[in-house]
Amino acid sequence: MNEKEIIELLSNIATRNEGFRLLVTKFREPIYWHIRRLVVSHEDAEDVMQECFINVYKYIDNFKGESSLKTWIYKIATNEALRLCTKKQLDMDSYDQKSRLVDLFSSEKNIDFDSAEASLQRAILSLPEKQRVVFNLRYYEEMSYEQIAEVTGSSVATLKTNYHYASGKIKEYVLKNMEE
Amino acid sequence: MRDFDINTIGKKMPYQAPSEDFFEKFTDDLLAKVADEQKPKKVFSLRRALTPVLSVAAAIAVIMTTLFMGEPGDDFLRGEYIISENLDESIDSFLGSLTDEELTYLAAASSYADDFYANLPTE
Repeated sequence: MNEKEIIELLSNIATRNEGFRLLVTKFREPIYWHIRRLVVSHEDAEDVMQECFINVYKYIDNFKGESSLKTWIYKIATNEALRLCTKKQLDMDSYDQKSRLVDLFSSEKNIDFDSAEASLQRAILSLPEKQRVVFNLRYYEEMSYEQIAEVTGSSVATLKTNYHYASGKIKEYVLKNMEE
Repeated sequence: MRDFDINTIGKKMPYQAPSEDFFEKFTDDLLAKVADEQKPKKVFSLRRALTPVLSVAAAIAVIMTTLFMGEPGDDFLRGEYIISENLDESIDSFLGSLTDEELTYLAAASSYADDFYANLPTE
């Protein structure tokens, strides 16, 4: 079922619950992974995802179709995830400029920390918040800069700059790890 | 520094994926939560809850005031006092307005009809 059909079901009170079920089924996995990449732990990702979909249901009447349903949901998910990071003080430590998210990632179980995927993830988690969000949306979700602009509210030019800086830092980080 | 293409790493996540039924269970729980939130909630009304209590309290207050605080001169009791003061006069006036037949019927229906002392002949 496409976005337009889901929106039609959601806009009618009689079919709203059915539309919401279809929406959750369509977006739950990509939204889960998007949130997980930002908050690291599964439990936090589950909580944030639940909060995200409840907000979607609560504020569905505010969705005017000015952006796509997908970017609107990603916007809510991103905001909720970053709110949790702030609440748990998972972002940059002002003292040693090291993201606590990297420590959280290192404490995760069942991860092959020698793998290239783990190295990439550590590199992403060590980025500043904005660069991390932009990089994830571009690299993993394969969103266009226009779509990322809808999610983040930033200009396309700023996003391109952020992505460029993020890519550079990640390359440097991964190469350094490979050489060690 | 060697050149390196990030895309060669791919998009696979290093995390362990959630259990197979995680997303199904999540959806069921979420829909149940949303349905639960839609149910009209009973609004606690302090006024409604206190009405019986306040009614009883008000009744008790009136009784207590009447029994222990009232003086004949009090405004609250003045009306009743005046009524009791003029009670004999009122009864006489009422009886005077009745016809002979009505008086006979009233006397027969009275609980004092068979009372020996009440029926002593007057001089």
